[in-house]
Amino acid sequence: MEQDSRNMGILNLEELQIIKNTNVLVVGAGGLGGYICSSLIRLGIKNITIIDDDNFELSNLNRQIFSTTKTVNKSKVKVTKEKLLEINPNAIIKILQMKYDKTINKALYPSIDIVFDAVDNIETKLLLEHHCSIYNKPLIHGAIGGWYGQIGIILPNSYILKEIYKDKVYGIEKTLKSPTFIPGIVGNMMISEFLKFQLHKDALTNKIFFIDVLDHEYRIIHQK
Amino acid sequence: MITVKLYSAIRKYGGKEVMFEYYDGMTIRDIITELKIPLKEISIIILDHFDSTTDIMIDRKVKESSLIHLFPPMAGG
Repeated sequence: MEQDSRNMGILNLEELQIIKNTNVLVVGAGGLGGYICSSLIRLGIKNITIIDDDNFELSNLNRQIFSTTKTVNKSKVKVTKEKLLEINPNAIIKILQMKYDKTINKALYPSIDIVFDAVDNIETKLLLEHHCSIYNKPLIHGAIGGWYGQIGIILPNSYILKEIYKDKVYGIEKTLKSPTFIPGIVGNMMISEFLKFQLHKDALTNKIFFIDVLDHEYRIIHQK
Repeated sequence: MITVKLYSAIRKYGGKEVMFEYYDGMTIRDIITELKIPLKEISIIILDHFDSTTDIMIDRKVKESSLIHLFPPMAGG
């Protein structure tokens, strides 16, 4: 189809169908989550479930792709769904406006193929990793702070996040915050890893990849 | 000499790279103590191509020409 034509330089028709038919869960619809959702729908993904309990705030305007003066105070998941359907009206976008915590309805998991970690705190990242292990789903991990980011694909039961966040309450984001460009860079690197993983190419599987766009240092810092 | 490379927010404790004179029995803990980096600000340590978390790496002995990388935790979204 015409709307897929510019992706067909790196995908064949069979690969495109694999990607389109992947059922994706995105947890977090803020900085990373907005870019992830935008790119998933532009890749042709038809089924996306999004979870977030927040409304857009003025402080989101610097970086969150669906945050505008018109969407301030509106539900992030509702706005995101509207924007995604403008890109692909035939997509099936399920939204849950709630905090991802222990009360999350686990019935959503069996129909999901892969999960994106776009949350902004260690406690929820660890819970997400645990649920992905229980329900045997790969987790595309991402985290940002200042000029820096990290990504990786966490396979079920590897518990890499439990290791690297052990005894930590927060990270560098507390002081370095989240500037305009970093969610787009890191969110889209998560997308390219997702694509590689789904197509059985050499992805960052069970590896944590560090991204420093200030000094251009990029390296695997942990692997299992 | 031992080379210690610091990343992102940890750079406030010594810049991109710090060199240390080696002495017998020297550990990663000795270096981190010297740099005055709180342990909660380090998540992953790489010592001569072996990486792991702070608690596992902290008491490892370094070699005369060791290369150490220190990375902080990051969790923003």
